[in-house]
Amino acid sequence: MSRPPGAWLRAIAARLCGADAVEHVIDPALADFQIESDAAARDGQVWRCRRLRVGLSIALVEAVVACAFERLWSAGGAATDDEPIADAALRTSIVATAAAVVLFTLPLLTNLARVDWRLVVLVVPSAVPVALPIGLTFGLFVGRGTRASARFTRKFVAIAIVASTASFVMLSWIVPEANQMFRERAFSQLAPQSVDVTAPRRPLARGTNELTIGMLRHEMRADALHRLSPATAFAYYQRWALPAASVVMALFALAATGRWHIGRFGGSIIALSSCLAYWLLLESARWRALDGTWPAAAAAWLPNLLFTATTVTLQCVARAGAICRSRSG
Amino acid sequence: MSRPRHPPSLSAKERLILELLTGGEELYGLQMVAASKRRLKRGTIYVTLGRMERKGYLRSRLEEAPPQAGGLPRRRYAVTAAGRRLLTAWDHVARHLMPELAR
Repeated sequence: MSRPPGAWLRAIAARLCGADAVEHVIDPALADFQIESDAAARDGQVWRCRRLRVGLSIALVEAVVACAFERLWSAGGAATDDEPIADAALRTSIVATAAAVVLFTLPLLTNLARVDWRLVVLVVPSAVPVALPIGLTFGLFVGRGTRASARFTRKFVAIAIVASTASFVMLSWIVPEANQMFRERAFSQLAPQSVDVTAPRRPLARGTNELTIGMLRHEMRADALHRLSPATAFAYYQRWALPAASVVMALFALAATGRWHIGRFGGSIIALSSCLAYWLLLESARWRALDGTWPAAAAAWLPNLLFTATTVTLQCVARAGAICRSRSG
Repeated sequence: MSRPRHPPSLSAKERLILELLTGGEELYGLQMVAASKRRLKRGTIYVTLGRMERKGYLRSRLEEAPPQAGGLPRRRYAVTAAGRRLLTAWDHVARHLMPELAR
């Protein structure tokens, strides 16, 4: 016996969305389409019947995705009053990340004036790992701006961990390959007429930004043997430290907004100051590492360590305040 | 029971659904999509209807299941008193705040 149309999507929905969503979202859609489609088949309207079946599949996929997203968003309990805050924080994070990507990509685009504009696709990945922690910081300071529940905190920590993992993958493998591809393509377009770019040649030598994390580790060990500049070592440790910034900055923002009631304007000022402070710390630590004053690993991790220490301090102060209030109350 | 900290919200889609149902007739999803002249989408209307039912703006009932094998009963929706009050209040506020938009 053949399964009714949409049965397999219903089974997927039951796994992803739960029984309540199946009863109130999936089943009504399935019933409406089945009845309309059966009526069309009885009337001999073959094409209308087919159109309805395609429409049903699209509608069910959309409904399943929407339900799964809603379920993920409200994981751990029923919808609460901080949902609008969570939505605002997430929206602000996405907008801020996109704005940061554009801001970081624009200066690079000035170099694209003489080459194919489509190469911008290869430039964008470099901006994403820097834009993600900035976006999360702005999202939490501006979008949240006030106290929210533990569930909200858990969700944003999970988002920050995903962002950190994505940043690590991008910085370790995708960005170096994209950079190298960009250089190769740009070279073939900008090479003087006298150079035959179609002739077989060796690939362009990779710079530090074009080395994957494995290549960078290899170079770092070779440099250490020959007591060369610690630039490669700093770049290697930065590939680990920069992705962690998403989690570090998100925890800092959550601790700060949990401690003080910050408005949107104040939040944007604090977010901007925090990102600038992180960048200044990283730059000053980099110079210290390059002149050999500080070990490369410590220099690369310094901003993360300082922001983590601030977060821990804020949490301790908040906890001490809560204990005092409960004793006096 | 604690009082909600936010006033009830009403999106454009939810408002349109309430307007379609204030005629008093019980409608099903695809009927509302057709009546809205495609302003409501087939893929999202059922999610919106489910959410509105959870919020208490709508109530629904199942029709008799069709005779064919595997047939599911159709769900028809109607506006609740709370939904009707919300729509009236929403229109009232819109008329006062933005008279140029009031119909």
